[in-house]
Amino acid sequence: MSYLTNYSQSNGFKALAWLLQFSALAALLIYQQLTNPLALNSDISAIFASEKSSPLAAITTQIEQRATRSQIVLVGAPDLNGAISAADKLARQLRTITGIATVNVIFDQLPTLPQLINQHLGAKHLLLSDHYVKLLAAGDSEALFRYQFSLLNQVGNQAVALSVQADPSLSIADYFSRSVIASSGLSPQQNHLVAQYQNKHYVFISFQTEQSGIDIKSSQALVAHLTQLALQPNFEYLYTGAIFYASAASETGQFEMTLYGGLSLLAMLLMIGIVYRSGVAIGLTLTLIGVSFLYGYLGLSLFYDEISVIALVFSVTLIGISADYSFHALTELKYGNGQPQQPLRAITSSLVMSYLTTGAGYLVLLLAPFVLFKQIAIFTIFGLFGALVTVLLLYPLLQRYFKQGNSEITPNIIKLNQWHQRFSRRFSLTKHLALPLLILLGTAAYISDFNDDIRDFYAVAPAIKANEDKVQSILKQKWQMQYLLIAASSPQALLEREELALKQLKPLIEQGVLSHYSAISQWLPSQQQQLANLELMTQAQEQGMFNRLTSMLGQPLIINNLQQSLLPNKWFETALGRMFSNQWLAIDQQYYSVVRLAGITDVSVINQTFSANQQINFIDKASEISAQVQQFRQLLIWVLVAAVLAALVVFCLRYNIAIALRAIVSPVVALLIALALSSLIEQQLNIFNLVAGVLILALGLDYSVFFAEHGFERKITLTTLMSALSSIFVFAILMFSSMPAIRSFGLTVFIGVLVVFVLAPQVIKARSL
Amino acid sequence: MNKVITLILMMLLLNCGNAIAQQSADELRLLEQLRIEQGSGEFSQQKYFKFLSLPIRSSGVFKVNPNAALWHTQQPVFSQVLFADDNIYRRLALNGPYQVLVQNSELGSVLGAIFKAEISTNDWSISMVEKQPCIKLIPKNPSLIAIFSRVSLCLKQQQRVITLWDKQDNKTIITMTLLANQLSQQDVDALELPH
Repeated sequence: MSYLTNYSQSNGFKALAWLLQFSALAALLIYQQLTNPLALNSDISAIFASEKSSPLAAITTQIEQRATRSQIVLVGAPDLNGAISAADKLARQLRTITGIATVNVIFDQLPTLPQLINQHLGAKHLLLSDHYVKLLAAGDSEALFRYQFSLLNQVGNQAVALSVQADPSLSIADYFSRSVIASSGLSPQQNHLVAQYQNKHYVFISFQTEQSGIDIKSSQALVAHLTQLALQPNFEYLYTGAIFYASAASETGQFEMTLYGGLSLLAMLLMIGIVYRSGVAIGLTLTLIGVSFLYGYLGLSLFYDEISVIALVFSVTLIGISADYSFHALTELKYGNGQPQQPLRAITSSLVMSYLTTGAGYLVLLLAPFVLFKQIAIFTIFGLFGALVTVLLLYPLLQRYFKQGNSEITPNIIKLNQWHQRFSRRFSLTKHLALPLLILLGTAAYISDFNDDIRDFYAVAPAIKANEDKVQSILKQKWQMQYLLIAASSPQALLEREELALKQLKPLIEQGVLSHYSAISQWLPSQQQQLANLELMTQAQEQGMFNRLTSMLGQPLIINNLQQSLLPNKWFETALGRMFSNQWLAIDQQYYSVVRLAGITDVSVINQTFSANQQINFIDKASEISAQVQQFRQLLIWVLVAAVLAALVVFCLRYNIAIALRAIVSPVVALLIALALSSLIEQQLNIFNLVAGVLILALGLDYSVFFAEHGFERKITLTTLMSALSSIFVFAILMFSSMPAIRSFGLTVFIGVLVVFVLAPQVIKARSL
Repeated sequence: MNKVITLILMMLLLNCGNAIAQQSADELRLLEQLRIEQGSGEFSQQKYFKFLSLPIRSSGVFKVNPNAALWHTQQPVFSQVLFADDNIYRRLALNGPYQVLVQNSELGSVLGAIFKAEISTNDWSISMVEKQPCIKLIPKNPSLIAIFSRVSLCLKQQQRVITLWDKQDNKTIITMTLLANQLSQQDVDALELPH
């Protein structure tokens, strides 16, 4: 009677505890979903974003977020009016979409040439183009006149017509004969910006999203809307921007997660059905996986506002790992001899230890300076906690369903167990594997290399790439994500430093390292440069260099030596200054300017050019993050070594040195073989292969724990086999992912799990000793 | 009575239609005569600024083929302006490199078109000047409106006379004399942008 009372009390407590934690989980999830739902981010640099606190990092983040929020659509049609009305219509529709902050299609505020010249005539002779300065400095009157005459004689040069009377030196006319829109291929027409390309007019629309990571539904709705519009025969809709990458990536991520997750789950449930012949087993495993996902999602919601699309696909791996707990528990419930009060007592410590070893493996990823790995770690640690709680509290409640009918292990498993034992007895790591392993590792090390370039970790959808290329062809040039960020303690020091940077960039244009740049000092020289210009003009006048032109025009040239310089605060109020306002930042008495770059062919040359100057920073986030990936990859190798040593200590404390060594050797050898084969197959390795190594070690140590605890029990063979098969279902399928990073991860784990399954029983030899 | 009035109105309308058709045909004929598909010749240019009593004069040679036009000023100073691929390139010394003067600009294509008399009705309103072998062009395209108020193209004997008025009412008169319809290899080379 007291037995029954204890039983029901114990189960009542477990049921209550499970319900309480599940209610708390559900409440937290609902609260998070209502107050701060997770957004999806596919920006590869954001995936690897590291947390830095320097002022420069804060500014680069600000600049990059602004760029990420900005999107472009081009509406093309053979007829200009048709293209404009279609663009206006689209702009109206875009304004109704949630998450879009501003839409720009009317550009009637662009500065006109008369406006520019009127606003700068007061600073004539202070503002000189580089070419004009060069001609004055050379002191060649003939060359100067040739240049001035060509300006004067040029058909359609409005800058000359507007300024020649006020400035017969033509210096201001020359200054504004340069293109203000920096050769973007766009020109203002009917208050719109229009580009002509292959007999079509393309009207420019830009819009900004409220956040850098717009939610999936809105981005997909927008892309679906544009795709629908693109079906109209007479119009062409081209788009580029982070939102479109996000939409494509989220679609891929969701598709792959659903497909791969669905297939893995199906295979696993089929396996459970065959082995345990119980609908309850299937139901319990589904519940456990569901609870794991909810815990994982809650973990991410608590720590992040946005998750990466790669983390989303990686979440599929949780199915494989959490299902292991279910297999151990189901096997124990069906084939074990546990007490009704505590049917999982025999494996409770193994399960907890397994959670701790796997959790420790993932905790290592929390040390990574990158968001992606932290997200994977948090998702898995939280998810596995949910799985552990469910196994320990919920599974024992349903014990009676597993004790009905045949509780004998099937002959196939017995055969497998026998084969496993025979293989384990005959196989010697040192005798059979040492030489092939050395050869394999040697070959792999010889032919492979590490690729840390983050741009190779994520494949862009071909349609998005085609769109991007065409937009670039139509706009003729597009500013790249790489730029110079210059810092100084005063506005004038900043302009002087920028002028110095431009002097270093000019030869690089001649060398073809880049094609264009856009900087404020091209239009607003430093005070120092303005005074130097004025002095040059005065000297040239004294030398009579302007005489030929002024006599031809019959206009006297009056140079005011006491002219006041044009200063940034006044210049930023002009129409031209307003166009450049987003390239100038003032924060806490520090001034920063951005020099935009286009047509870069060799990043390393630019990097090298400015590497010695601490105040002129070449910002190339992708390369910077790739360098960080390289550093972390090197660190990760040492972390793996440390993890192995830590596990060795734990095993030594729990067992003895012989068991500990054998328990460690299997996962380590599996890891080496997996890396070597991955490198032979992929011709190179990346950080994801090493991250896969963390999982191989975690799973391998897990198997070692069970073999060390329970020896060659048939149920352990069964559980390990099911665990290995479930891992293989999950990870092998990732090899078909469209994302190279996930492919690499899947391949390495797949090989590693296969090998570790075969080698794990080696620990039993030491146990029997 | 009504039928008679209707008939008269119809005849008037038909005559009017004929007049329009006639005018369009004249425009087309004149444009055809003005058009230079290929060839070379001489030009002189006079640029009148409102504040100057005398024009700024220059002269030189031009070369045209279907893909490009070269404007080579010889007097008073050397300069070469090449209109190619909707861009305008300029050099101020024979052996010097061409510099992009205006890139991807409608102005480049429009100026190139004016010199070759390839006038697009998308960019210009075209009309005949009464009793003169001249075509008057009024810009329709806003970016051209910002530069030109009007343009006239006239055929005087073997000379083409182009007059451009800018927004400030300054006037440029260009007189082109076509001397050859064929281009020598040297001319063809000159129309290519050196690499």
